[in-house]
Amino acid sequence: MEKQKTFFNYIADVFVIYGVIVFVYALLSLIIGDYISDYSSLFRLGSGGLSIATLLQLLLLAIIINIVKITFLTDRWIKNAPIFLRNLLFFLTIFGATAVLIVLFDWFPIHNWKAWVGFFLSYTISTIVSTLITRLKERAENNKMQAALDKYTKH
Amino acid sequence: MKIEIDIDAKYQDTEVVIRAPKLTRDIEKIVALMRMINMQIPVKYRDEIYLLDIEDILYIETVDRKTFVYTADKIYESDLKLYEIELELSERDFLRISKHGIVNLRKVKSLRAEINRKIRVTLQNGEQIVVSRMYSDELRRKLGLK
Repeated sequence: MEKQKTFFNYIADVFVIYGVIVFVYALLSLIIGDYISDYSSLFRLGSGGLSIATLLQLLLLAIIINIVKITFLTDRWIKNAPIFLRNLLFFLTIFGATAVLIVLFDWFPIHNWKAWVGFFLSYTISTIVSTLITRLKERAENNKMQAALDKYTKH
Repeated sequence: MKIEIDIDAKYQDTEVVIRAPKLTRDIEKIVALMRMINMQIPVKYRDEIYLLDIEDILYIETVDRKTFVYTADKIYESDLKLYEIELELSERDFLRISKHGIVNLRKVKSLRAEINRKIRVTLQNGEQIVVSRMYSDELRRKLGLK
């Protein structure tokens, strides 16, 4: 039987995502924290690390990412959709949710259009790259399975 | 039930004789299982019993404890349980794809990877069924991908 996920499995998933996010932001704070501490609330402590408020905000982001992941990247609610569409919806929803968190928690000055353009570009590029990689992997896997099936049925 | 096996070179062919006071479900099952050795499966369609060639089957599934046998144009019912059919057909080209289904690999047109390591199977008649995560590795193994 397929193992049913429990509440604790979901909590574990959230903390895996949270761990990655905190690691990346801790690294960023070490490298550029001092330069942008006045500019972004995320790096208020400069290279001194991340504040409790920032850690809690990133936890909220991890929870949102996990909910969106369950919604679009599993078949819990959506039963039949191509992987490509699922990825697209996943990234679009995360983009929207992150934009809301930016405004709510003042992650960068919301009236600074250059900051928004930067956010949009970096997010879009990483989304396109990630979606393309998934698409290529999916296609390669399908081709491999089809070739194996054709070989099997010919025998 | 008394079982008697008589192996002797004097016999030209293999013969199975069942002697019983009346026809029971157990006897019907024994006959059905023996039919499968001959690549046939007894099935029902509108209260009539047919002997269906195994190679005509697309897939078999259970719904509400009933076993249904799907061909390109008809859906038959079988008195056999899914595990009984699986036991007999696993040596052929049939493969368990979920708790409720077995597919005839010879009737599969295409395969597509799905999320959570599931596989979407498109059959020769265009019908689609999903191989659950638990059985997808077995399918990959059978196809020589693992």
